[in-house]
Amino acid sequence: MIQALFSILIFPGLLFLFTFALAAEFIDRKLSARLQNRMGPPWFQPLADFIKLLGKENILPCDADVHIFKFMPVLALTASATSFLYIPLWQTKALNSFNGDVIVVLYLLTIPTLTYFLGGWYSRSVYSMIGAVRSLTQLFAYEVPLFMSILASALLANSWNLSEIALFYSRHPGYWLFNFIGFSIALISLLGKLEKTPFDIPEAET
Amino acid sequence: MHNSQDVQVPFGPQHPALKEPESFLITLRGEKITASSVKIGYNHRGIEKACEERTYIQDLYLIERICGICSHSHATAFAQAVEEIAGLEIPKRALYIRSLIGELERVHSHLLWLGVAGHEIGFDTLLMYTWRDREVVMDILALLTGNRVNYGMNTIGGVRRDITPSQAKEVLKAVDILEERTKYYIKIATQETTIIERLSGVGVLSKKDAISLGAVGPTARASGVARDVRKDDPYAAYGELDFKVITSDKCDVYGRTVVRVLELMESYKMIRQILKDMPEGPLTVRAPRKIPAGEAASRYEAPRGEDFHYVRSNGTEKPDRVKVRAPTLANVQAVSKMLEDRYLADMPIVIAAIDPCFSCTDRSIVIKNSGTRNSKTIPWEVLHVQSIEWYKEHKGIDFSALNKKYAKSFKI
Repeated sequence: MIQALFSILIFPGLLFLFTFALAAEFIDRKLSARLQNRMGPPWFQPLADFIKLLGKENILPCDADVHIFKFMPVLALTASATSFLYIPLWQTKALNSFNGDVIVVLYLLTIPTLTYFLGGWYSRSVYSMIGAVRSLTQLFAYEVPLFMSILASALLANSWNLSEIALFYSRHPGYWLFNFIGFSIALISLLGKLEKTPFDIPEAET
Repeated sequence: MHNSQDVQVPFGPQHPALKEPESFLITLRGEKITASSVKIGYNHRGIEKACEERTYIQDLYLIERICGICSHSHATAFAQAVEEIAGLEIPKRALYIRSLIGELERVHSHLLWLGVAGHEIGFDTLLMYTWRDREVVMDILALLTGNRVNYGMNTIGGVRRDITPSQAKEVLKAVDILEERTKYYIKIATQETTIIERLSGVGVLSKKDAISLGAVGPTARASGVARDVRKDDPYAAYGELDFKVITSDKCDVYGRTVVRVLELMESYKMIRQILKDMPEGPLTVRAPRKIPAGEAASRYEAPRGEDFHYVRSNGTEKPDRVKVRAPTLANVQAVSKMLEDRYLADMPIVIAAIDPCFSCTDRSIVIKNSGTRNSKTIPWEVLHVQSIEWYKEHKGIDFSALNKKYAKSFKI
């Protein structure tokens, strides 16, 4: 019981994920700042921003479907946090694994995009609808190459289990050469999935 | 034209993609813009009317605050009009100093634009680089005039501050740095594939349209119209300066970018020539407090295009009428043309490409009841009561006690 709670709340559960996400955000921001000849933020900036955003007023559009609008972000967070259960982190063995979990992880990681679409659609705001349709259109563009590149490495390892795949590649490190093309494709597709420049049209920050 | 697939999207007055408040109404079919209209007037400030209540010298400082970027342009255009009515002969040295500040202002405005354009296409590195380099020219302006913007350099009949030889040396040093950096930006703008691909064919304005819609400044010059007041109707020292009018026949946002970066090089050339040829002499002639009755129009090539000022005097120390036409007003109609059948994602860069300055351009307009919308006039007192009621009802905050003084005056 305590072991399970520890896994869910501390490691590799929510607290670790939270810290990990903030660290990733910090590295992203600091790196792009240095590339742009700027100082960049201090290490605690992502945390400070997070606290500030929590204090923000929650704006509900008048015509929005309240339940869906409030439920969608929760669903998005749950789906991506759950997918972490099956991803090997410290060792080749993930916290939980079964045959076919690679499909489940890909499926869980698709859910946030769908929730963005539904949330945007049910907000009944014309701006959100444009963004929602854009993010769904983009989904079709990047999802197929991403699936293909990840499943190709699964085929090579002859397993649908992420932990087994990890074990296979740790025993045969020379196979990275075969996966190199797939890795590059996945990297580009992930930029689209994360809505980063130059695939940031759903977010349309600029 | 209008069918059920079309979605009308109000863009502004408050919108994250706009740097200034202005209202656009676009009709979308999918991601394509089928129609767009611009409604100016949101940020009307009543500066023209305020000018009639102040003396000419006071007006000069008010006019300077029309625009935060081309402040010297407006002040010079106004001073030129008043000087023409008063029949003043401005000393040569003052004219040269006016041109010098004008060109430094153009440098800082074009560098600013380049950064904004970079930001709008998601090329934030360009924004950071150009704005860093822009600091060099801002420091020079602060050195010469005491301010980074709103220089306060002009007065009726000349300029207020001299350029000392040591200051001139600093300017030349800064121009050398800027020229080197600008060469790098020219290389980026003409060789970087992402920029060329992103900007080519976006916001096309043909030469014919540019002439018929009366586009001015870099917008017109990028459509192949060699329209530049500095050449066509030389003012200040421009008649004696040697420079080229940069044009491009690309007719798109890419052409506007190239025109602006190449204009920077012309500005550096002019600054060097001004500092070399600047004659000795007095800075001002004495201007009368009361300007004789008459009227004059004055033109000035601001960084964004032709700036037009009209002044009518009635023999007192205050003008009878002042009319300002900022360059954005001439260019803003062209935006609708540029957006036709373009993607929505191109909209920010197309609007930014005319280097808009909406607050400078805004004039009040009266919208008559066209029958499509129920418009009515709400008196201030009623609006005040309504706002207090709204907060009481929706937010649970009672402002009526706080505003007892006002409440009394409005007899709530």
